[in-house]
Amino acid sequence: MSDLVQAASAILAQAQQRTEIAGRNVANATVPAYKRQVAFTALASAPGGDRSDARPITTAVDFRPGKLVETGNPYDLALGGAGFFAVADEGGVRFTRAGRFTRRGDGRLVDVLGGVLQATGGGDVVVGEGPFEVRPDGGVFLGGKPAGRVAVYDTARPQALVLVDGGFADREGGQQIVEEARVVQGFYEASNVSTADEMVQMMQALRSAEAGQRVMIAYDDLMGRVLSILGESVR
Amino acid sequence: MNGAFYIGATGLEVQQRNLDLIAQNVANVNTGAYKRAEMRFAALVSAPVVSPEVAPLARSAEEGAGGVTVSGIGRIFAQGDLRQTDKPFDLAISGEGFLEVLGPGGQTYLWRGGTLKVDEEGLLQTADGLTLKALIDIPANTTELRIERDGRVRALVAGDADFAEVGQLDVVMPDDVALLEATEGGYFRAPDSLGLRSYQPGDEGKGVFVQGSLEASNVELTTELVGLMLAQRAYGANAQIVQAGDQLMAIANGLRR
Repeated sequence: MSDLVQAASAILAQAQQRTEIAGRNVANATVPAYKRQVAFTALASAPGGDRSDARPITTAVDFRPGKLVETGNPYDLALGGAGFFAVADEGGVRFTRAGRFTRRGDGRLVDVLGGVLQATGGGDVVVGEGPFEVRPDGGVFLGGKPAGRVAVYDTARPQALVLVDGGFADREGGQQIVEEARVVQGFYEASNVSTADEMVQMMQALRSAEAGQRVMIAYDDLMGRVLSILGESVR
Repeated sequence: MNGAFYIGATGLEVQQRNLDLIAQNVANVNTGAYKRAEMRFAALVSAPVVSPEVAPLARSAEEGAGGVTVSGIGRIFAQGDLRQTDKPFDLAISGEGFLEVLGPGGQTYLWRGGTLKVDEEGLLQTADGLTLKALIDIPANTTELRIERDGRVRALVAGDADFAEVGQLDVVMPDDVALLEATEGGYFRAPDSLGLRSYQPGDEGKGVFVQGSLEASNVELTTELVGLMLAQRAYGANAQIVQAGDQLMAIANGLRR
């Protein structure tokens, strides 16, 4: 009997979580290289025949690339193919596709949260103070002279990436240098959120919440009637 | 608790500030040497603690519950177009450097050029009365003033046959332009900790002086209007999310008729 109540409250809770995820994606729709999160319910039920309806919503990251936006700003870098830039700060190395860098006083390129862009073979990318050029293979040139190469990493197991502020951290350390990287200077990658998708998700969640509410009301109705009928027959 | 409210609210707040910034850029499209500002966004992630035994593809929805934040405002110091005015007291810098001027309290202000004037004591000043740090004394009865591309200031005094050199302007470059604070009147305040380096004009592309020209702002209306539309739509979408959060609560409240 309480199965119905459980089902209804699970529907309501899931609707709320789905709205939250849609909200997170919409709020970040203008964040460069933000990767949208997709909500889904785990299919498998727990072993032992417990068919609990209160399955939590889980999320996966949709790693599809966003569109490239042209800025003409030499400090904006985008990746034309797969992979991530590596940026290092006190918290360790993060992986991100958001290539909106600025030049720090010591000539290093830092991202919006202060992480320093890494070069291949370890160490930071140093562009000094003059004009610089980043070639498509990631090679950095200062006035025509080579000065290292921007490191582009990729992993065979994107599932191992954990969301952190300003990108992803790799739990397993399975990041490999991508040899045929394509770095585009003067562009940045937009987020891959489509507001229309998120609005549909949100409307769906709202409607399912309404359905949950109906179930609850119907059950309440039923119980009320049962009680009154039983009460009458006792009299 | 209903997180959609708060997540949507961070989005509204950020887009609102973005709109403010775009409005500022558009308002200054005709301000000489104005440098456009740009908003930098960062995703907020809260509680990224994940137990290692979580199923590989799936993660709890609680992870990364956060909205968006402004990580900073970036100023784009790209060169604006130089407009020829042929007025001898108009000065522009072609290149990335700045002119050093003395702020009202003696602080170091950086200036991208504009209209100059000579004060009562004969010192070269900006049009709103800040003295150039090079302290260039213009002799009385000067009939013509020349500022060469390399920064030499020469004056022709009435009665003289030749120009006399009266001073030298340098271009300065801060170690990190991102640390400059924009202040009233198109000046940039350099914090005391920020290192400034002087250059001979023309050195390493740091800039040369162009007399008789003014630098226009580097705002492009098309870019700003595209940004404006984007901010407006993003604002609307975030408002929808807040509304959805509200409807969810209304539904929950409607459970008991």
